[in-house]
Amino acid sequence: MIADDMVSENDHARDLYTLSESIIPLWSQNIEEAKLLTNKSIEDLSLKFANLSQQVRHAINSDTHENSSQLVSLLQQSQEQLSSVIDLLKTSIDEKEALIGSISELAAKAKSLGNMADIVTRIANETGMVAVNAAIEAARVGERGRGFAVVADAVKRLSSDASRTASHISVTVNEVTKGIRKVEQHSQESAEQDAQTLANADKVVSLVLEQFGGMANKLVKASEAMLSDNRNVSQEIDQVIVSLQFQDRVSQMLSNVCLNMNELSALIANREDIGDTDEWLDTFRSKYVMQEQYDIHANQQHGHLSTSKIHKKTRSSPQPDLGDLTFF
Amino acid sequence: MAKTIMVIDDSASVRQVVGITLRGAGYDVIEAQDGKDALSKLNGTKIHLMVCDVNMPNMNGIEFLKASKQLPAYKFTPVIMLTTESGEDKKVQGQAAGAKAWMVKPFQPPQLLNAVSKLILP
Repeated sequence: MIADDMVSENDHARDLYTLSESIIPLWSQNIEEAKLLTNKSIEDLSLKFANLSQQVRHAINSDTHENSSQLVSLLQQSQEQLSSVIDLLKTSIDEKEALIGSISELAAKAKSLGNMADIVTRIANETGMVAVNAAIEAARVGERGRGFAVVADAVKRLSSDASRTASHISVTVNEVTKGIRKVEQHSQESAEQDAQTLANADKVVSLVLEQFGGMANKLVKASEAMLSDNRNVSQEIDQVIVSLQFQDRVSQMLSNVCLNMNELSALIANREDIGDTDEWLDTFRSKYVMQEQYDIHANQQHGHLSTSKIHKKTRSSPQPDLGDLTFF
Repeated sequence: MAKTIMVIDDSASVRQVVGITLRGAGYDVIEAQDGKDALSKLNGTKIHLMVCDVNMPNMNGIEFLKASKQLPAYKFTPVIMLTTESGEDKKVQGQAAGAKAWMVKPFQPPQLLNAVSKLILP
């Protein structure tokens, strides 16, 4: 019976050896392959997210705020420049008003000239009458009035000249007055048109500036909203990059497992003594790099816990501060 | 002129993430995949700071740290150890070997940049 048990035990051990010899290398190679595939995928993902993070950071830092400031500054400059154009128009209109005033004064002076010409005509006519009367008297007096008749004749000629000249002055003054009136009228009409144009221009400029200002405000708000969204996206991407770094930890854990499996597989293949179980466990433990591995090892040794319970227990125990930074 | 940082890690994805984080902040980056590779690239180039993993094949981070401190050009170059190891004994080893800081992975890019800005050579 004991011999049978021993034979059965030997058969069992031999079967286990044979199985281990074949299956452990396969496990190891599969784990290694899975590790390589995961590494490659995570590397690609990490690169993509890191590039995204850089692009978003560049967009945040580049010229968003600067564009908003420039837009507001441009709006203010436009308001100032357009206001100065309106002021120039007003000044031009004021100068035209002054010109119209001058023309009116000129028209008044032309009228005075006309009055003076009438006075000269009247004087010439009266002088002519005096000359006629003088000629009559000279004729009545006879020979003694000859000298007087000559003087009367001269006065009569002077009177005619003065009358002709006064007439010419009147005609010229009338023509000048008509011309001045025309200029005055045109200037008045032009001034009225300018005033209307100014009023229209002021309205149009105000409307355009108001619309421009409204649009600029919308753009600034949209830009600020986009900046805020970009900041949120940047933070999310940074969190993804942090999460993807788990690959490095997984890779180290899998490498440790493969190494241990390969060592065991070599001993089995060479039919060497595989040694003490505790020594194996200690050697395996000595290569741990993360707290989770130490916790799993401790839980395994203290009781037969399921993987999920070990995982839950590991998660509930104090975790190292990821990203923990110590300055020396 | 941009300052140069050497990043030493056997994980290509970690080198990528650290590299892009640092380049995005305006630094030039030289990458090495383990301590031995890093030593071969320390050929007199001015390095203003190093970010180094601990567990690497061929030459681990602690061994590299000790070797680099023997080189006159790099004796005072600050080194940040960036590692999954959080145990105190490893931290003590790192400090004794000459590390200036110990950061546990995974890291937040702004946190790394903050540490770099505090330690990098002028």
